[in-house]
Amino acid sequence: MSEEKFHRDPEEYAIFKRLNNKQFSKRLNDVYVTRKTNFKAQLERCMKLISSNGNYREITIHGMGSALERTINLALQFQVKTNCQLNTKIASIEVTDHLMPLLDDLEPMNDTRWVSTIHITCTLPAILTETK
Amino acid sequence: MDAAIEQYAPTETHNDTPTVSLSLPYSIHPSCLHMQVRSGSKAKNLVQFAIRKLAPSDQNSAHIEQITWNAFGDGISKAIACAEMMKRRSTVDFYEYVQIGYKRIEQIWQPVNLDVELDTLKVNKDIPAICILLSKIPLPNLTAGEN
Repeated sequence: MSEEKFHRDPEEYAIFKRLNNKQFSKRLNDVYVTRKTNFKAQLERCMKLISSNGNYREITIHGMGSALERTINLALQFQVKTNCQLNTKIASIEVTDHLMPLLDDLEPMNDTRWVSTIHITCTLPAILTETK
Repeated sequence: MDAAIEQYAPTETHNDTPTVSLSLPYSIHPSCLHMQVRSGSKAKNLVQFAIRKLAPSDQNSAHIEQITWNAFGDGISKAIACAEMMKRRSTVDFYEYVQIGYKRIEQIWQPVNLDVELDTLKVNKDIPAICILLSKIPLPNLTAGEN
């Protein structure tokens, strides 16, 4: 731990959290979990994707930061319902915080940090997909 | 329902298996280091400890080939952060396997008001848990074997 932790004064800087959207995959069978979405709605969306109108053999559930616990819960609930196979991967992405000064004599700053992410691929068992 | 819950207070929590991780589909090397991550633990301390164990300075201590990071509930994001930090900081390339599952926690709820006749409740909670296996030894590919 060489880098010293930087403490910002909430009266001096306003924080703008930015996420580079380009680093995410945007296939139709990707489900992104947030802490604001209703849990049941998220589960319904997963079920819809594998049902007849969606017709995907596998879906990928993504989550990051504080939504990790929710993401795992969603994947496990989905497994209980569909008896699918889970393949979990962990990664981390870099996010940038823009610090905008609220006082005149301060410079705007950037701060980068790492946020852990989880990607759970749910694959349906082979027997189920063949009978469809 | 809402009124009823006020009549109870959680007294004790039974944690059947506080240390045992989720079952992994691999046989684990005997030297494996099991790390338990809680939401209160400092990620820095855990990673430093694990890295020191992984690269021992004296010859007497056992060589560690595998590490598991275990957590449930609030500690999940910290466990992932630890594993990621470990991967970033050490020079070795790790083989990785992640297992997720539920951990069951039993809680006993006692009635608050002793004047009213109420039974003691036993509550089972399923809490999401994670186990991250980092291995220096190559892990067999599970999906390839099943096809």
